[in-house]
Amino acid sequence: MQTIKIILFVSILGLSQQPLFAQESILKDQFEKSNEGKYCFYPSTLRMVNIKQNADFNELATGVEKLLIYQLDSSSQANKSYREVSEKYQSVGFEEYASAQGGGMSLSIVGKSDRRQQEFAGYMWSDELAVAFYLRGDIPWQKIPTLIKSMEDLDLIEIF
Amino acid sequence: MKKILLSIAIILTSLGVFAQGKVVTNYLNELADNDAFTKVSVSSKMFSLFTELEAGSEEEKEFLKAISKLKGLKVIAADSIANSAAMYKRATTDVEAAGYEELMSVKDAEENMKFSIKDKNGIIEELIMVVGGNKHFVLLSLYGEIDLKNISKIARSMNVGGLDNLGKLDADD
Repeated sequence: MQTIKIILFVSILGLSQQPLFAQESILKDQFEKSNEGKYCFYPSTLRMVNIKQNADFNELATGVEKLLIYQLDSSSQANKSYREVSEKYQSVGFEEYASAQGGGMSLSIVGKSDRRQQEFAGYMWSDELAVAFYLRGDIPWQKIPTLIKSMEDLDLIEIF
Repeated sequence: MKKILLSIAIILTSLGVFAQGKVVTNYLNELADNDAFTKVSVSSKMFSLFTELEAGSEEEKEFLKAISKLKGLKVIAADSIANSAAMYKRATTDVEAAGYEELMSVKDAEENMKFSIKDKNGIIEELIMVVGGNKHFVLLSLYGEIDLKNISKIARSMNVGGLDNLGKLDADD
């Protein structure tokens, strides 16, 4: 569980830059009425969940302007409507970065970027974790390998 | 006239890009709703992010350069299917029929493995790997500009089930 959460954080933290025209409304419109959890992270709150205050993680978090995460409710998991998130974002110009289906998991990451902004959205569904996310910010990509190397020292608060 | 030539060039280039990975795409469509198979797709946008990583050594620089030239990766994998041998036979036949050239094949008691490529002007544009046997099946397509010298490093770094078999290509060089 912890490993999956770390992978999710790293995946979505590692995909971003400056925004001007946020399109988080697509995610909000789909999941705002959900009874499950909604989490909104900014650099300060991301640093708070980093229990051991891993310096590499904090450096990455600094670049996050906003990370929005919705836990998927049972209804959207049953009818797989969470998959619409990527389709809706792709209809407004987001491009597919990666996807994985089958073997008890489902993952999709789409993104949109130009010289002025970069945004990412998608979902991750498995037996242990079911979330949809939207992220914008300015992450130092080159720090990702360092963070991966220090994974064993990373300890995040259980929020899901 | 220039516009017409430019339009033709763009159309032909686009067709070329879509043609890559076509064999695997057909299988992806066919197996879309079959949960026994894991389907993975990584686009050129994801590979382009590797260009932003800091390289420490010359070897790392070379590796990141090789990664950044990839345009996509598609993988279909299953660990427990009864018809893995039949799937392997069908996939290798489809790959051959699509005009791919066999690069290397390995056969042992456990499973069969075949690597095939499509190249243009000496540059490998797509590498297809088919693995089958012992209830195990993998169909993988890696496309873009492929440097065989770095293929095993790319395989190890991606840590995708089945992709580690690409290391055998490097070992046999």
